[in-house]
Amino acid sequence: MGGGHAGCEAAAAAARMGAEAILVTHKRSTIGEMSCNPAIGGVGKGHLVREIDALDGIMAKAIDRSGIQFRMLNASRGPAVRGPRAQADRKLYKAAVQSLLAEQENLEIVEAAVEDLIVKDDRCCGVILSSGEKLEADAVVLTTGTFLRGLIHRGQERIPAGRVGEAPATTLGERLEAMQLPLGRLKTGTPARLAFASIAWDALEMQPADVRPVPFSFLTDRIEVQQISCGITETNHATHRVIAENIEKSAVYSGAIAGKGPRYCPSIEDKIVRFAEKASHQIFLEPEGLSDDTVYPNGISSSLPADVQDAFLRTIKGLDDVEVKEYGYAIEYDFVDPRSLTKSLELRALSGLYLAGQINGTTGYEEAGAQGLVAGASAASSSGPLEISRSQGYIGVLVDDLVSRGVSEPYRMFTSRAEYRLSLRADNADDRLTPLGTAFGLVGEQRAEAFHVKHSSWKALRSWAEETKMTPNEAAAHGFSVKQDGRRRSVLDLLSLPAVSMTDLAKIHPRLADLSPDEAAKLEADATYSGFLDRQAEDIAGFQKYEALQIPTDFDYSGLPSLSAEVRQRLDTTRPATLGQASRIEGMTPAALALLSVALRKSSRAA
Amino acid sequence: MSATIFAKASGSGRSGVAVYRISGPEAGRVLSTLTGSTGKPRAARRVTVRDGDGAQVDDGLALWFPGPASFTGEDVAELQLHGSIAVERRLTEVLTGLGIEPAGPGAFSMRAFANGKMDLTQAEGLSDLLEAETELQLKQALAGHSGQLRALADEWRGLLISALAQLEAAVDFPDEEDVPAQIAERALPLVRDVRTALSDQLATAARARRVAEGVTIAILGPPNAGKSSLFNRLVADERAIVSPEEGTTRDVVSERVELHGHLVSFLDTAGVREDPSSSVEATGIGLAVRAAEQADLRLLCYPSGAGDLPGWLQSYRRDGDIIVRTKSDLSGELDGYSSLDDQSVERLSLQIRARLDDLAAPGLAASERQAGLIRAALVSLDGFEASIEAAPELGSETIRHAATRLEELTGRIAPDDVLGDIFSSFCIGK
Ligand SMILES: Cc1cc2nc3c(=O)[nH]c(=O)nc-3n(C[C@H](O)[C@H](O)[C@H](O)COP(=O)(O)OP(=O)(O)OC[C@H]3O[C@@H](n4cnc5c(N)ncnc54)[C@H](O)[C@@H]3O)c2cc1C
Ligand SMILES: Nc1nc2c(ncn2[C@@H]2O[C@H](COP(=O)(O)OP(=O)(O)O)[C@@H](O)[C@H]2O)c(=O)[nH]1
Ligand SMILES: [Mg+2]
Repeated sequence: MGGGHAGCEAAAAAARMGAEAILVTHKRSTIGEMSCNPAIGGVGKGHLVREIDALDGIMAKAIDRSGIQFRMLNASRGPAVRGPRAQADRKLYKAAVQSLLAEQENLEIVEAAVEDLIVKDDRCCGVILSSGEKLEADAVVLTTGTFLRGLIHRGQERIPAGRVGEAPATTLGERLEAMQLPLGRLKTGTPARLAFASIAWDALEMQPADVRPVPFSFLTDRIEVQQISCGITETNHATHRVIAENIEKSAVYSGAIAGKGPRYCPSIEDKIVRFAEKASHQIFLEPEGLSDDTVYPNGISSSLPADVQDAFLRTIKGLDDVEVKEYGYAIEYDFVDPRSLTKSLELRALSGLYLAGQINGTTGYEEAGAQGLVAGASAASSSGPLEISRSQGYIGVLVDDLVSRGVSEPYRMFTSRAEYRLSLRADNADDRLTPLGTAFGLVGEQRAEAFHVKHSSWKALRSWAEETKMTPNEAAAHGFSVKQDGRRRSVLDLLSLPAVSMTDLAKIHPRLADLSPDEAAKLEADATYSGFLDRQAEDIAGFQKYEALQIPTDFDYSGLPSLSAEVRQRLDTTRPATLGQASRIEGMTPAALALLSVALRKSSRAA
Repeated sequence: MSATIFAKASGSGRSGVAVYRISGPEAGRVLSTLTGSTGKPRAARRVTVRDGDGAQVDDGLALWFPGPASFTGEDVAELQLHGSIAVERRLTEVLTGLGIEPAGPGAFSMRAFANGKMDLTQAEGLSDLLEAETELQLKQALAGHSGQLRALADEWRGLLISALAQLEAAVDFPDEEDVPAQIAERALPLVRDVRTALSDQLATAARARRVAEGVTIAILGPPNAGKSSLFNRLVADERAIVSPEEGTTRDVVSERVELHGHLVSFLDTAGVREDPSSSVEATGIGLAVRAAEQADLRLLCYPSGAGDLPGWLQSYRRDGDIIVRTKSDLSGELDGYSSLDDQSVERLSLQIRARLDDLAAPGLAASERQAGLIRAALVSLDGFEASIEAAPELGSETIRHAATRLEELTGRIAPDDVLGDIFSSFCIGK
């Protein structure tokens, strides 16, 4: 239930698994809606999108059909931290999602509000619609986003709502509260939307799209959507003065909001208070579509009253006569502490009920989509849940962080969350996950076939790059400075030298000139990271051993008197599934782990 | 977690033989580097253990247990060496230099358990685990010196996290104007500070150990230089045999004395020369040279009035060593020394005292394991500049590795603090 980014991936994944999936959502027309900034990807987030695609999900295909400004972030850094990002034409994106869902077999869409859950024998087995109609099901995936007791703040105004203009799901929120699930409250904000024609574009610096856009989906050959530029402007002293003078009118600063906001996405009020020494803050002016009159000013979300928003916006270069289409606001909403979920995102307290998306305390379309896919695939599986580990993908990092550590602010993906970052790259998401998805029954034939072809040609390229060698003399003749030590160096060896680029080598080996972006990135990673990748492979092998040590779901921690009360309580809240997961719980000690491992061994011998 | 680790497996203390265990994928390579080969599986073999440069560390027995038929289920190498503190220290240095990490409390048992190797009925398997429990509790009880070390390690880790935050901010927030693109320059001073602090700490760790265990001073020189006579004067006792016949001292003779408030072991050694006349003498020379190399300070003896110190003797000289021109009563040389002249012996004693105050000073007494972890962190950070040049994100890897070693030192398992540091230092968010 819920036709947001989590719900769409969940429904599509369940249908791909062969289940009869029904997507119940308020309005058919808002399926695939980007509630906030119309952009997909970024550093860390882009990795998630490519992983969703490797598992045959829909997000990457949708953005490839609707992206109007593709940019590879961190292009000058190594392949592990490059992040594909694209701004979307909001309408095209929505249309793409809706048509991808329409093409999907086994998937039915029902336009309705869900009022309640059907619970029988401690199992969730369907939902009740506001019409009173009942829909029975083997499993329910709940992806209601911020619709749980959402409350909008703008200055002194309070509007109970999800997104502006949509009704909040308070009945369902009360139902979940009655189940005594641990709930928390978070907040997030959005900036005003501006009218395109009212902006003085000529006065602004522009940021163009990449000359050669790299698609998100492994199945897309080329981006065909027209590409546009964004404007760049910034706040100034006058802006800051207007905001500072009115700071107590901001909903956040008047103390009206209890929920905790994300530190990486502060409102403009926050930026001015916390970083008072900064003279200006950058703003990206991002058109929301090719034929859309709306512009999203990235960097200035605000919960000030409308007149103050008008006043500060007009102090900004290029926005002197700006017209606001809709004012910014902050929104507070409930989330369920994800430590009450298993690794397949099923509620431990009520089997058959899966939670995915913003309701679990995350923020972002990509984080929502990734969870939806895990929940939908697991709910539809007859052979156990879809488990992706931290060493296999960012999806694994996301799910493990949520269920092991919980959230204290809206959770967003960053590459620094992934300890095996050098191996988990956007370029090799398919190598990592498509075979796993295929074995699980989640990947369609077309993709499995395409992967097979692509993978064999990569393997051939890889061996060629290892076996094709030249002597130091030959290298010197080509202008590469290498030690004259008589050692023959392979293409990979040469590529690992900081002074040698792919372009240099392509002059000698023409096949390197027409590599796909993924192949080039993979070669580069294998060359630059070689020693580090080996060490990482060892670390991963060690990590997997501890992941393999299962802790029974009903394990009795009170049988371990030498555990400190605090550690025991944390173990009880999180109920880790493996010894590895236990080690990632905050506050664990090596001694407690050792004790636990011995006790596990003992109990498995007794059994 | 499957990094290769090592630890002394036999009980601590000054037992005759010490058993060192190395476990993990690199164990075979390490055994070959140290002893020339791995030898046959599960067969004891006499070996000479040498460091990467071929210098001898000790001799003893080696055993090779390829996994999975080993105690931990991984490849395991075992070395049985002399139970001396100098050997333990040297071996720890060599192993950490090879990238092998000191095992944390319970690490062998954890691995044995993870590989399905641990049988609870086997007392052997449990012993290091039980030791770990008490060790940790002991450490916590002893808030004194080890508490201070923990606080320091936390401080270094904090600096590394800040350095990492600088690097990671640039990676995770590439479009933010507040995050400068050239961030390595910001991280480098922090990394340098930590490197300095780590090497200072290693130096004080060695000094602190010498307070407890004593300073070793070797007397080295050609036969008949008057070494044994000097030794006797310094230990104020007639222990070594003095003889006009060359080659009388064949073994290393050692005497522990208290000198100016320090515990000092003087070592009298066989005379060294380039062309030994017998294999017995050659063995004695070998022992002498080794003792001299492992000592904390050397007194290089050469008769005064016999010309310059020969090159071979110079080659053993390290910073701070004392050159003793002997038998000055015969040559009349003014700044020479004579065992027959009380005043010159007193002068030498005062010179030694100045060195002792340098070599041994109270500090945050670090165990071999602690020193090993500090060294491992340092080795990793030494590679920072090179790795960041290869790719900026590799710089993060080296820092992360070092920070993990420091976490092991403090015994904390910390969730990632990097993001917290990023958000408090940069204005991020669009
Ligand atoms: C103000 C604001 C600003 C944000 N800014 C950003 C940003 O800049 N960048 C970013 O990446 N992310 C941002 N986000 C987050 C992002 O929008 C969400 O994380 C993401 O859309 C969550 O997806 P979801 O599928 O969990 O929920 P949603 O996308 O919210 O979807 C929920 C769906 O459930 C349906 N629904 C709810 N209740 C019921 C019911 N009872 N019966 C039937 N249907 C129901 C709704 O109609 C809706 O279709 C922002 C969110 C908000 C609210
Ligand atoms: N005159 C004089 N003779 C010394 C002195 N030191 C040692 N000798 C003599 O030199 C010879 C060798 O001394 P010894 O201490 O055994 O030398 P070693 O071989 O270096 O240990 C002995 O006959 C000593 O008596 C000294 O300071 N003055
Ligand atoms: Mg002698």
